[in-house]
Amino acid sequence: MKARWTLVAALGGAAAVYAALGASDPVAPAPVVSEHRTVVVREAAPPAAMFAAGPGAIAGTPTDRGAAPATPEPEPPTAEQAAAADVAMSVVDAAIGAGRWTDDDNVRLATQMHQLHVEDRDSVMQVWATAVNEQRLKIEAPPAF
Amino acid sequence: MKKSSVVGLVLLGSIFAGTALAGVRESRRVTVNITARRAEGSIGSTRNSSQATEYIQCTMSGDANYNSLVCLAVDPDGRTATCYLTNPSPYFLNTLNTLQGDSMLAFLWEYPSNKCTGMIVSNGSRWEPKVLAPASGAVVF
Repeated sequence: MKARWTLVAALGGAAAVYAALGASDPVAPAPVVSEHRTVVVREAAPPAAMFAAGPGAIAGTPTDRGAAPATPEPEPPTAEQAAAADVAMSVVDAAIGAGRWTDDDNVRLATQMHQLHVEDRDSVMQVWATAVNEQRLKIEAPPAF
Repeated sequence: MKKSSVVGLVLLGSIFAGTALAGVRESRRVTVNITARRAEGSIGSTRNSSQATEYIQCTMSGDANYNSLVCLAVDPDGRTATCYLTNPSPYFLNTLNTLQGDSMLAFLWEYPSNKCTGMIVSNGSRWEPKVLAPASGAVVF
């Protein structure tokens, strides 16, 4: 009989503790969650292939943000393009020799620039820009090429 | 109170009143820093400058096959800075497209290629607008 009352008392205490905890920290029923995920799978090139292609093969790295996206290897310059590159470079060299860049230089260079091979354009502009930044070429007419 | 004191107080009051009503106004003339490889200036302040040699600009040109970007700045002391890109990336084109008549413009370049590595265009009320009347001594285009 005594054991029965002890069991009843224990059950009652447990119920009181459960009620107290439930009142102070209610546990909400778990909502039904429906989740949709889109998984994008990117195929990574094998490391060996990336290194074999060289660092330039990785487009979009911080070093090439200034250039346009990688394009196929350009054709080598034609004879006409090579001749135009010589003329363009001579225009820039003459201006640097004179120490000033004029409207006439703009016209002469613009005529050639549109015929140049892409690599020659870069070379001509680099020589021109280097002279300007080294204060060897006074700009009398803003560049228009 | 003397008449001159009254006039002085009125003048002082008008100065403080003007200060209190003005927002942030910044005039930024062209600066060229060859060592830091950076040039900048606000277009309005530069246009309004009394120094006829001072300017800052970026030019895009191109045809069906290629286009080029050339930025150029000349500071009041005549120091010149430039950078260029052939076939510039969309990063630069998008930035350049936000350039307005009274923007602040800055460009950066790398050495020794002198290619542009960065461009900043800022538009806002703080930058001095161009005035219609040409500054004395400035060349009118």
